[in-house]
Amino acid sequence: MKLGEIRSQMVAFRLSVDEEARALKDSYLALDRLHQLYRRFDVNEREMAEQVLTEWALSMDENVRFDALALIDDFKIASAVPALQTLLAHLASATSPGAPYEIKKVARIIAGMQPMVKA
Amino acid sequence: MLLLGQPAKAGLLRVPPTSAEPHSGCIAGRTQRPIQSSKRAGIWCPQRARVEIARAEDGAASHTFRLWASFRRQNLYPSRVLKAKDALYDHSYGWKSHVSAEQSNREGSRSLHEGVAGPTHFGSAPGLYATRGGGAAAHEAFHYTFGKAVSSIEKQGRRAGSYATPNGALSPLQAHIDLALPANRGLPDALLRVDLAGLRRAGYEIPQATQAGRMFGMPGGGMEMRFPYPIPPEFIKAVLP
Repeated sequence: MKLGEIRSQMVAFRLSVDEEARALKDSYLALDRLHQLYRRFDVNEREMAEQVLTEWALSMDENVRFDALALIDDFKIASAVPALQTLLAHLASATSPGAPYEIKKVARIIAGMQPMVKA
Repeated sequence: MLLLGQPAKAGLLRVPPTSAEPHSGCIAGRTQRPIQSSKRAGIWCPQRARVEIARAEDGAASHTFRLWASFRRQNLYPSRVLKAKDALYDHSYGWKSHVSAEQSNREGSRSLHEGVAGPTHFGSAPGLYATRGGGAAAHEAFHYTFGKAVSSIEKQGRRAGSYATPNGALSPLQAHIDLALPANRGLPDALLRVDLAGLRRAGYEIPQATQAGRMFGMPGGGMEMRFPYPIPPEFIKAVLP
């Protein structure tokens, strides 16, 4: 499977589970399903999925970023650290109410992956 | 206790049998009469009241589940289920009113409508009724969910599109019915508190609470609010478990 296919599959999957979560009044469900999707990927697919998640982490849509950050944090995707640092810089100039809290979250995720990055 | 002509089914909550003897924990006050029932005697007895409400909810829950099963088999929904829901309310809220009245007698002029709620299966949660119908003016909201989701929510926050209700004193079954939650996912076993006052101070716009409509065969009727933005974990606290 190529990167473009993984990307479109993940985008479509996310929209689908987002809709399902809304219908079932269970926002956690979407995150749970995204975790399951990531776990189903083989090694090669995971590499591409991590690249997609890195793209999502830099999305303008805070909801997309939320999902990406959760997956990056839970699966300790160290390859996303440079993108997270870029995100930190972007958020520093953001004026949305959630920006300060997202900065904290991103900083925590980066700090949690520092040992892996150094290794 | 009878509900719609059905005997309460013991076992769900494993409620101990009620003794006719005066309870040592009862506050007999000046009456010096044997206490047959704390509610009937008008005497506040926390332990006996807990047993009574547990038995009432046990019976109502059993009856409601039987009716749901009946619905699935014979398509009898909704009138009989609605009756069961009403029975649940009668007993649960009636007991809370009793608790509140007794507390008012002892503590002065505080009342249920000032935010004093009795313990439920989820424990004691202040704010009931004080925030009913609000949302924009409420200080806190509650999210009924599952234990497996709590650690993730406390760490990541809540996703955009999540729901909450101003009423933090619903039992799992009441939450299921009032908030019209999907019937096939089980009863919620965790309760999260969302700090609306904190969100407001941080610049977030708090959504209005609206009445939950009928969904998934559940009648709804409770108040709910849907957050269009992710809620940072700083504003979420697990109440239970």
